[in-house]
Amino acid sequence: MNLRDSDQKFGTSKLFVYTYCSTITLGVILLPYVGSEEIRSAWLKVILSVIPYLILLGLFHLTLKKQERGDLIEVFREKTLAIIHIPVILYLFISAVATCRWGIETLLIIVNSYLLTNTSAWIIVGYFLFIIFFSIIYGIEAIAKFLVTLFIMDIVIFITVIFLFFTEDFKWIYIPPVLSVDTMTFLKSSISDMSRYAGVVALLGFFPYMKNDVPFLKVSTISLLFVMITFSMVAIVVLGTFGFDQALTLLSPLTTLIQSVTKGTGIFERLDLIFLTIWLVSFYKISVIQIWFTSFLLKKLIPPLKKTDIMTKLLVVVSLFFLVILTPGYVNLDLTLQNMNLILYSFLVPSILGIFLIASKRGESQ
Amino acid sequence: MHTIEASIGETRNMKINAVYLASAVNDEVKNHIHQKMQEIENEDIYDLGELARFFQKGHLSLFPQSLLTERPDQAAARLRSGKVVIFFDHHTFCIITPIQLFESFSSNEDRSFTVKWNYSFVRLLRFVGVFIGTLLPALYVTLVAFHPELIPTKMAITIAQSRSQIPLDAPTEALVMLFALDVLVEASIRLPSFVGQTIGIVGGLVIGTAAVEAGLVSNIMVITIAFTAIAIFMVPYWEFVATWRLLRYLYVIAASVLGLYGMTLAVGWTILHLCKLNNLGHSYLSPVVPLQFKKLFHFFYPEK
Repeated sequence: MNLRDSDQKFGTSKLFVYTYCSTITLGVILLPYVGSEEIRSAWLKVILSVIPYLILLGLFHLTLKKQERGDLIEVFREKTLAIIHIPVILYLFISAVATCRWGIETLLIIVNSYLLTNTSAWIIVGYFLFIIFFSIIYGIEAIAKFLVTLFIMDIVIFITVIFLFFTEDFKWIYIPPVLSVDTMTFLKSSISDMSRYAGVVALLGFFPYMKNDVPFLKVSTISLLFVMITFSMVAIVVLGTFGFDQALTLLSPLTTLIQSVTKGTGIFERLDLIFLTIWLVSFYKISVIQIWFTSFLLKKLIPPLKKTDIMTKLLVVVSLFFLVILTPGYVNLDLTLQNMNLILYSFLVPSILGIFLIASKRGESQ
Repeated sequence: MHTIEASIGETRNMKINAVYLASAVNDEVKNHIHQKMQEIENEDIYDLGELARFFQKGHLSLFPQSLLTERPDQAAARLRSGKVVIFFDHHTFCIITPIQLFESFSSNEDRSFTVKWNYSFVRLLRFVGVFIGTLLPALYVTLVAFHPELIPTKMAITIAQSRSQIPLDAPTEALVMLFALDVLVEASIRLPSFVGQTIGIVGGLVIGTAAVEAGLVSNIMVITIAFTAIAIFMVPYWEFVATWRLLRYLYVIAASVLGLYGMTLAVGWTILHLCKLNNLGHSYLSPVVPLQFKKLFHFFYPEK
């Protein structure tokens, strides 16, 4: 069952969980990000780079208050000429596709490295997108309920990270107390850390279904701060256990960390694989959100597609499959451009959109 | 208490009665039942299953939306909790609709415990039973065929020894054994009770032991499947047992192709599917979705 635009059903808990789950997954598995960048101060960068996104949440709050309508992209469509809104929505759509493609590529790398070393990429990706397709056709209401139901998994990840602080290998001495690099290097390397929060943009797809009386700013801010705390804890615990030099060589620092500090329980020998399974559920959740959001943007871009909901979602999923399989992977590529675009897509463009809608009068159209 | 009556059949001699408590039932259920009772007059229905499917919304889900019972105490309890009870002419069973997943873990006998903790233990046991009965064969395939490094070394060696002479790979072995189990279950249900017991003994013990001795299946696999079969029968309703049984095959197939990765995603999708199900205004996963903590607590620990 798909919710109609008029069905405003989602309350505080769903907003909190949606914001958290749309952001957390990739940061947890990849932080502190390596990619030939500075990582000693990664913990500080993830703390500072949340600030722009908190400002974005503030802008969303003001926009929702001003327009008194949740579907901000639709309001933007109504208030601007086609020559303006089509390129903007097209850009958002293309960036959403690129983000999903990058996410699936990450999944592929993790699964190929830790779980299925000999399985072909097309089987791993094909199965994943097959499951995703049958998930997103259930619509946003089922997705939101699902996120709330399995939020326990995110709590498990959070507790696991806290537990890692108490291992004997963790040493505070490895954590630089202050900025140990020059400002330019710090800012440049912050780009990748800032892009970890890019999932927040999917809130644009959530607003149309949110109840009017939800304290949006308070709930979403707490949720994002919760993400920030998790990210900074991951960065600190990895650096504190491995130190800077060793952390640079790790594909998935947290997985390696769990692999190194946990012992067999008597039932399962390798708890890192159990952790990866929990992370997999977390990745499934973020993918369902982001790929559903991509199909939401496609319907905004081409309004007649609203009538063929299943076909639209199929189109998105099939396109993603071919994009992942047929285009070269990101391994060994400089991700600066990708990260810059993530910030443009998730922060700058939604901010400009928000400022424009705050400045324009309510109900005023082109 | 309200009763709606309708007659069906070519000679209009088969009566259907839908009963509900007006104060307990929600509007969506009430409207749906009234509408269906009007539509039913043109239908040719001869069986309770057909009738239950007629009252369902959406037929594609694996999960049942109604239950059959012949116990008056169950029907009365469900009426009080806002369900509709449908009686069909001469049938001794009645249909209870709409139902939720958590009802499949409860039985009226649970209330007969004089110690509350026994009640809690039995309910918890049923949950664990469903997990084991649905996921254990898939987990076995995953651990043996894809991730033996997950198993403690001693256990891995024991499993490897038991499988050393087996000609089938773990996924095929699991699927064959699951199929054999379901053949046994179906055969024992269809036969008279005294012959059914014999089939159980011959199939389970004699053929099972012979299959292990002949080197066709490993003894660990026999233990896994036997435990799976026993665990799933802790669910008090056959309709739900049948559903979990089907899902068990899906999980084994997913685990056979993609190990832990395939199994995890398949389980994730099942939970999302359950979240999507909405049975006439009642969330199928209630009281977990939406979370009603008090109700959930009293599901495991009785109020009175």
